Amino acid sequence: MAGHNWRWWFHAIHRDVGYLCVGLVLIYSVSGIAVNHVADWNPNYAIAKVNGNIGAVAHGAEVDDALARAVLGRLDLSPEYLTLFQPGPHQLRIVRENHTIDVQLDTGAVRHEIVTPRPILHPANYLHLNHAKQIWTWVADAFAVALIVLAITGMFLLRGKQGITGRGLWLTAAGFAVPLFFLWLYL
Amino acid sequence: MNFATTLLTMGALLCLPAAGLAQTQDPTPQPKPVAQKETPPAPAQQGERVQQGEKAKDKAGEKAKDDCANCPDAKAVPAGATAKAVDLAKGMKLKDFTPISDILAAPEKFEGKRVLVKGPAVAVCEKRGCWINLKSDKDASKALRVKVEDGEIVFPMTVMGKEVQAEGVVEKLVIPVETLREALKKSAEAKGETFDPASVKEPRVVWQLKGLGAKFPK
Repeated sequence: MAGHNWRWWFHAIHRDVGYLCVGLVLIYSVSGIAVNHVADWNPNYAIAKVNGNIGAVAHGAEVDDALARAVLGRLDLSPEYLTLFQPGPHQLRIVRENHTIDVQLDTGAVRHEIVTPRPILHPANYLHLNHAKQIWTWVADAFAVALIVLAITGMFLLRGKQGITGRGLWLTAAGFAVPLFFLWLYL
Repeated sequence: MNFATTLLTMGALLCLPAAGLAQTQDPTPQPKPVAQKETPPAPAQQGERVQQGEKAKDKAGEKAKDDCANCPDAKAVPAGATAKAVDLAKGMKLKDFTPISDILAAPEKFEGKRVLVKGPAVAVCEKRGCWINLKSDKDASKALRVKVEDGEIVFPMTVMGKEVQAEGVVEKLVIPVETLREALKKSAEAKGETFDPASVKEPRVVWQLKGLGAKFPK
């Protein structure tokens, strides 16, 4: 180990830290793309919305268990539910496990909303957006530091025309120019 | 190999801030063919998760919040004494619960006060998990909204129907007419209903809990 120059160390650090970071780079990158487009879709949940009609349901001023059971019976669903809510005078919301049923009691219109967490993206977003808090915050900080180390050591891996004094310089400059251009454009 | 790794990492570095700049907008739902029956998804794991507010890291989230169609109150103006700063790092401290029905019956009495409430979730912000409605303990048609800073506390959609504990400060919001019209228009579009903007003539006063901490099942 002794006697190696700084470039040898940069190679070793870049190689090993790079291997360590592959998993998190993929998680953060995939999640980053997903949440960038949150305006167009829900990156965490697949939400199936299904409409139907069960016919008008006789009801009183308040919703109760009997009413919910009657509705669930018409929908041919088991009578279990988590809670009931009355969003409006002739409306009933039955909340089941990841399944919300909104019923317009006077017309019988039914709207199901079935929520399913996306298998890969939901946990990836959970980590990327640091919903976990606690110790994960420090892990994410360490990952960010590791990325800085990778970026800096990566610039000095090669010498000569392909290195930071040649082609590498132009590519690095281009990499800085991209965010600077958009900052200039938008701010 | 190393060059490729460098490219990957540089790309990831660019992705991190970009994620925070994402804007939220409620898409118009695409109703599926009429159906009467479907198989509900598998039950979620049992357990309990605690989230406590921490200092905001995502500054860009403020912009995204302003565009959150699910959160019409995001543009609302805090009224009077409630416009004070809230320390999100304090999380949950109280032990005694205040019934939601008490707050809804006389919100003025609780304005600016810190309370701990609990109730089943009957609505959740779909996109960011930045608000949740907790049902009143007495009236099934009433609910109290708990609004949290984007990213500080995230309410998952899977918490619907389950009991949530939330602590925060009761605040009065005044939703401007234009904001209210936009929110109601989007809501009507999502439901396939018609909406007349002229029907909204006055700002709406909304009472909500400015959430500082929450506890809910996984």
